Amino acid sequence: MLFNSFAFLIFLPLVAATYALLSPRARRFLLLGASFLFYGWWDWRFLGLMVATALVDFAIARALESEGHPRRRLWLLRLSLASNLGVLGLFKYFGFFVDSGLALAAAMGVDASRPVLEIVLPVGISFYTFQALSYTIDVYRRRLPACRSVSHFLLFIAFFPQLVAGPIERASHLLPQLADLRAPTRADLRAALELLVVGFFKKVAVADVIALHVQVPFANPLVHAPADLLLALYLFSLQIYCDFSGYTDIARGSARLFGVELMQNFAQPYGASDIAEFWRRWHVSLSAWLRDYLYVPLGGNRGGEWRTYRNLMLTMLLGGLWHGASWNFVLWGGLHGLYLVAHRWWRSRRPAPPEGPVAGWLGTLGTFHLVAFAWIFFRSPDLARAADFCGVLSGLVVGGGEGVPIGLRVALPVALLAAIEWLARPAASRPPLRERGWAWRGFAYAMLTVAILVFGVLDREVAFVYFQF
Amino acid sequence: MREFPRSSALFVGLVVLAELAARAAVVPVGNLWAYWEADAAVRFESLAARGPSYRLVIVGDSTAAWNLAPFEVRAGAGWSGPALNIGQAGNFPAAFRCSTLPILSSLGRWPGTVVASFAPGQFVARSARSAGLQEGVLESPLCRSRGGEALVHDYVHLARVRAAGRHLLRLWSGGALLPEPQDDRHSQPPNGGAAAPLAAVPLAAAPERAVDAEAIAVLRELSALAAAREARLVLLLPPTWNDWAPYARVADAIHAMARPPHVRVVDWRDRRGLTASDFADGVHLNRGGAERFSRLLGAELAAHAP
Repeated sequence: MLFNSFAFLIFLPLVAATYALLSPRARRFLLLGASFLFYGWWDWRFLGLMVATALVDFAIARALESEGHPRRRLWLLRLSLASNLGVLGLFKYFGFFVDSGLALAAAMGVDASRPVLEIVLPVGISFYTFQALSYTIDVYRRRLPACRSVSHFLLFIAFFPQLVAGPIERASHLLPQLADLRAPTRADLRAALELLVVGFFKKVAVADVIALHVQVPFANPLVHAPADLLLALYLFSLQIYCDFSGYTDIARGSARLFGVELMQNFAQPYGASDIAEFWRRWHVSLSAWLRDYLYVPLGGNRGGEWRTYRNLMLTMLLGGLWHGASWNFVLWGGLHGLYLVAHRWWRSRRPAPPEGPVAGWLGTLGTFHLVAFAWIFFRSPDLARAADFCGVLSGLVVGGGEGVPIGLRVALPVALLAAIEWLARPAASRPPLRERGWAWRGFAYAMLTVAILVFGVLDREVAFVYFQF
Repeated sequence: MREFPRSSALFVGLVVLAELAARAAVVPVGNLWAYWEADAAVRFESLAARGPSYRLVIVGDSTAAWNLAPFEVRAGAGWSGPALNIGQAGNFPAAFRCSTLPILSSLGRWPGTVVASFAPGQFVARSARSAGLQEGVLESPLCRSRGGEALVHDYVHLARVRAAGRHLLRLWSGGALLPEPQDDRHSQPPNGGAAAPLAAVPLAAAPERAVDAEAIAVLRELSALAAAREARLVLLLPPTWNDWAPYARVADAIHAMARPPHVRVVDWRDRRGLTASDFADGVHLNRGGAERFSRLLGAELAAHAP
């Protein structure tokens, strides 16, 4: 079920209203049933897969807690890793590795045929497997007691607001909230209303509208001029931010209706003044996961300069591959790895960052353009089209004259978005929208809703970009 | 703590007010908002409103929109009276079924002559680009509603405001809601109408595919409708830049639909009266070519007038 679907607009209020009437224990089962319905709406068959992997993790975590022998504990952890990564590998990466292997074989002159096996990617698999992995690793590290209730743990994995595209929650943050499901307070409802309105606005009135304009430039860059491709790139940077942060806002807003606070996943990332800061503000839950469960176990920055660079590159390459089974995402991750390595190298030589507003603005502008450049590989359907895009953009390849027409339908929602982001900026002297007077809030929510209805893409359900991961 | 109900009430109240205002504003626009673009809305609704008064109406896809100048056809035929071209890029048979056929079937009496023209390739194989063009028509609220789909726009009039905007501005500035289209509608081929080198002739490839029965069925429906109304329908086989093998199969299927005296097939596969310099690409004429072809077609129509 998509957040921006008619079904969800009925489903969410219905579940929230029923939830408010039930006892805490019954609430858990309501949310569990609702989560299964939400996931099964897409394909019931994969519900079984999710439940099965969750049950494996539940059992392994219980065994890990009672097991004292380090070697056996390590084997149990490996079993959990094999179960989660095995499922992920089979469903998400099987085709990619087979195709890459065949391409390599063909390049070496070996004729091999592809096995006839088309595997459908279960939605949200990358998110819920990472969430489950963090749980078993934390139990293995004895940072977390194993969960004792199956229904409680299943809800931790399947909680519908964050099931298909995060935030990737830590068990230490989410499990206690799900163990004591409380009725939402007025503060929860106030937060929920704002997050839902702003989230739907970002998705339906900004991201989906921009998507209509960037489709052609990325599909066929050769028919455009460099300035048009630059405009398309800026627009896509905005689209991906609004699509994903809009999803996160809706997820967080939906969870608040059940008194559950999900972590913040975005903190105005395009305001970052360097690339390391960008990754502390963009998809925060994934960045933190990669840091804690990949970068640090690889050695982090403990083994000297070159090992740190290697660990950064490996982390970002795998982070790229996590996004999707294609070389585009590997390249995108690799580019960010290079950025981070270069940034770290620079910082090691000039520890004090330049000061002053001009340096800050230049840093922000430069960081944004580095990030935007990497989006070319993220968005392009294949590497050839990405190369064409770069070629025309750089002037090395002569493009055509087809424009990227944008009008009020893009400009007005983007101006509204800028106003929202400006109000919510960390350095704002006045409180964010949520903390302002009732008239202010009522007016602002009404304006955003009218903007959604007037400018938004309402005649079709456009899937969130991150749902494919 | 009373702030939350107050802000929520204000929020809901303002949205309801906006919706009521939208309802009042878009009512005069009728279903013009539901089309894929404002210009097409005026042309199609002009046919719906004034259908029988037209001497000549041209329908079909881009081979109708760009190859045929209605005033030139009229002049070539020596006719008088209003003429209209509602040809539309991407309005291939499947889209035509929802965009044009309902209007023609709603008319008790048809215009004097209706000329229908479709690119032959659309009856055999469709490129990704042309499929995308057709999607533009099929995905419009008009076609989706006619297909029985429930849309947000059916319930929330705020969702109609953006599409209705251009029509409302015209109305509020004292203009007519359905101004009679005055331009000769043949100036928008893909390359802007200039004579162009035929770098990419789309009819070069000849896929060995059967003629699309669904597409032919739409033309059959159109022919049956014309015969039932005892109206004059001309199914035009448009000129193409080169001889394209599958075109013969398409032409055979279309020729089989002729029902004289009401439904005639005018076959221009031989490119008579046209030269290479008249073509913009494989199936489209440039501006000069369209004018020449329109006059030639007009003369042909007059010569075979009942």
